[in-house]
Amino acid sequence: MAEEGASDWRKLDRRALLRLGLTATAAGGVGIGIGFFGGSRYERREMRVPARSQPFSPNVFLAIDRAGVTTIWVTRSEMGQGVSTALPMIVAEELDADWRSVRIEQAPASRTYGNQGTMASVSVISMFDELREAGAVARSMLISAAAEVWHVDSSSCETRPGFVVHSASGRSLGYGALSPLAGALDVPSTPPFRAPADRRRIGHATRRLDARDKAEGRAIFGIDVRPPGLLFASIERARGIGGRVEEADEAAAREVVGVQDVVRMDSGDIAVVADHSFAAFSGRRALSAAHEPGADESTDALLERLREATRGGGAEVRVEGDVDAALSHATRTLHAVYEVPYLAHQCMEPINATARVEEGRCEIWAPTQDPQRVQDIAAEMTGLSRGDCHVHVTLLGGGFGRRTIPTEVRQVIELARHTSPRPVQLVWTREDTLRHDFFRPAAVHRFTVGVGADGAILAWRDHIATPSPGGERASTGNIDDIAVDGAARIPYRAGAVDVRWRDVRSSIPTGIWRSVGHSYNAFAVEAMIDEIARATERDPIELRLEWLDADARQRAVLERVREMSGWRDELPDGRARGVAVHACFGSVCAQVAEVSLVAGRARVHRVWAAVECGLVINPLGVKAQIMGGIVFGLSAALYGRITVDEGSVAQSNFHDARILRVDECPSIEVAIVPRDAPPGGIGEVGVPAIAPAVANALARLRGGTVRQLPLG
Amino acid sequence: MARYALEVNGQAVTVDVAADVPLLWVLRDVLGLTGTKYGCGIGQCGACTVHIDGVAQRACSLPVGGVRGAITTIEGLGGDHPLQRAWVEHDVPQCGYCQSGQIMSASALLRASPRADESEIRAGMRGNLCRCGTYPRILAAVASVVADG
Repeated sequence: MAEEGASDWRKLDRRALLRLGLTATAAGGVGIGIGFFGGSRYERREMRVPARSQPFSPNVFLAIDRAGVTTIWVTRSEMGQGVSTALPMIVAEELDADWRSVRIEQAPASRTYGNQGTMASVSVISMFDELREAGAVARSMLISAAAEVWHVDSSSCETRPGFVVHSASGRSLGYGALSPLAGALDVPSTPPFRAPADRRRIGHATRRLDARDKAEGRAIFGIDVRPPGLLFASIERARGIGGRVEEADEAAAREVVGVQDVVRMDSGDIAVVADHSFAAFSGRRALSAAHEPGADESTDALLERLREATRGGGAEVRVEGDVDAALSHATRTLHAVYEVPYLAHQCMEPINATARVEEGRCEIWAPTQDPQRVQDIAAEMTGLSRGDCHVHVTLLGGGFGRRTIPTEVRQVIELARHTSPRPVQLVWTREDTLRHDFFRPAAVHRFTVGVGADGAILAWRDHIATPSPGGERASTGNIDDIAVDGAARIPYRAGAVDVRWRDVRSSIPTGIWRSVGHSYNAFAVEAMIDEIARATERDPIELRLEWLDADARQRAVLERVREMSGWRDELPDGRARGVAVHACFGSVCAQVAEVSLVAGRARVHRVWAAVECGLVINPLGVKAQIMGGIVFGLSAALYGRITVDEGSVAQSNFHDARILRVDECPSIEVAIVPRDAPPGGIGEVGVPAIAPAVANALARLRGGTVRQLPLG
Repeated sequence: MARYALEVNGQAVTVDVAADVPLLWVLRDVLGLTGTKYGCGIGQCGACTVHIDGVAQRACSLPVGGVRGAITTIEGLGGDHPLQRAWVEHDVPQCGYCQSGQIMSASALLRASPRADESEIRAGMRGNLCRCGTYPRILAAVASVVADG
């Protein structure tokens, strides 16, 4: 039985990860191997501290040298969401480090570091406790070391950032000076934590540690690594889904200046290896390859199958009461069919991976969200032990779920065996990256909703059809929890409920996309709620507040966004506002969008967002993620649409797969609603509400309903 | 293959590549200057923006054989450019991949229009895509540099 709800974030976290333990599928060979939180493969007892050059390193996460420089290892991937600042903040808080002395290192793939998978907005959620403990342990040992030096009791010592202080005598010692002494002590098992009221770092706006490098062009992404002797490769593959490359003029490719080799891969695809990327691309063109057509599939045909699949039946996601009986008592019955298309990830950094394979050793550089899976694949393909497969996690130029999928890693390891001992960088062109994406699937919702005169939901029937986003049913039984996330259990008070789901198989490759099932289910649910508000002439925020009586968190953000946006203010002519609220990955977000029509198309002028994510680690980062999630979701709402025709993706680059530009970006205001609770996730919760908020505004502008995306 | 003499960030370099190789790849793969990024290859995203004699150009669309003038890349901006300071001050980057191009476009824009207002900044920067969506902070950072003169 699918379950969701933001209120119990710990349960959500474990279930989120359990859901994501997906396996390979027929459609695209997608395997997502993800470590489970806490138990199973990546258990803490495996975390032996690697050899460090610093004298004091009581756990895998930190080390302090004699100069007082505190190195903190970041064990999740930095893809813009700010983990490489937020996670160190947690350590530094309990350590009571001088923040200016902190430098970060990206942890390579190793079971030593526990779970390194970055997805489902879980990094802070799942690491909060262990990072606090890591910092607290170190602080406790530094205090003990100082107490020994001073021959005083530890309890008479405290810390100021970077120093242990003995207030009674005014003596102090820096962490650097103490580091060799602390390094000789036993690691305590239950260190005291700092009081929340004493926090100097957590909760305080903190600029990203990597901002300077990124502003100076010194940040190294996967596509930027340059190990000595590097060759560059690009792979010619069939445009069509599942198609093969047939004839190709390999001799012509070899003639291109800079091309070093042409390799026919196990898959039948052809790789061109060259001195630089452009020569590899030119070599591919020179192949003049003929492609076997792909699978007989089109998005038009698939949408027809989805619509058909919502006409009755389907696996029971949640059935309570008798919807048909309840409908007979409704003052009004609304029927609606909602549809959303396939979407691409469109990370700014094209897909790439770099590898060197030699006798007894394999080295990989990958902008990956799942480094231990990369390591496992390397070990499997080379026959080496995991320890002999070194995986460097570079910065990611965007992830959004795409970089959990290791297709390009398998390709580059195969190529590296051909180029050995030289390393090789595999670069997918933008066209490859778009056309061979693992897309957020299309979905159809068919609603039958019975309401009372006051807008009470007497009956809620929602039949959903979508190809599974992960490519495979995630849980035992018939339900893909991910596919129905955000629709399985609506937060609104409702009489009878009948939510069902049908998986409709397609050869179009699918994968997780920022906010996953919530990305389309929130649109359908929140737009349907607004239809109820319009049909019963009720204010859409008031209506929601009334029927969210069981969900204080969602009410709180709605009330805040109502106040922020001046919801009741009069609007200039030609403008309308729409609202939506959604909970996912441990947090909740309500948004209001102010929209007008320009030449018949939606123009979004302003967006207000209120987010509540429990304990805030970095408010500057939280606001950035909500702002960015809104822009990401707005691109999809206005323009996002991937179509497949006769087995081939029709779009190829940014000219026909449009994303929002700066001159179309609304002004965005974000407020954080405080709540004394453990941290919730922040990377995805900004995305789902913007599409329905804009659609709801548009429906008021144009009259009628807005039930399909994209809007633009 | 031919030899091309280029001036990059004030230094004379010579490269041996075919004439049609875009400057982007000469910079990244031959010279190892990876600050300039590949985003789309067709001049649609701006990630590859460099200056040629101070004018913003998309390096992905400039064959090296046709390059005339002094080339400045993000590495050549100095590291202490007012825009770079503003980028840190306003906590602008997220993934950061587009940011070299954003800064190069902004610096050329401000050289040409030192008192650009918001609508001019929006119009002038529209060639630079940001998938992470930090546009509001980009605008704030550029506006702050205009305000500081």
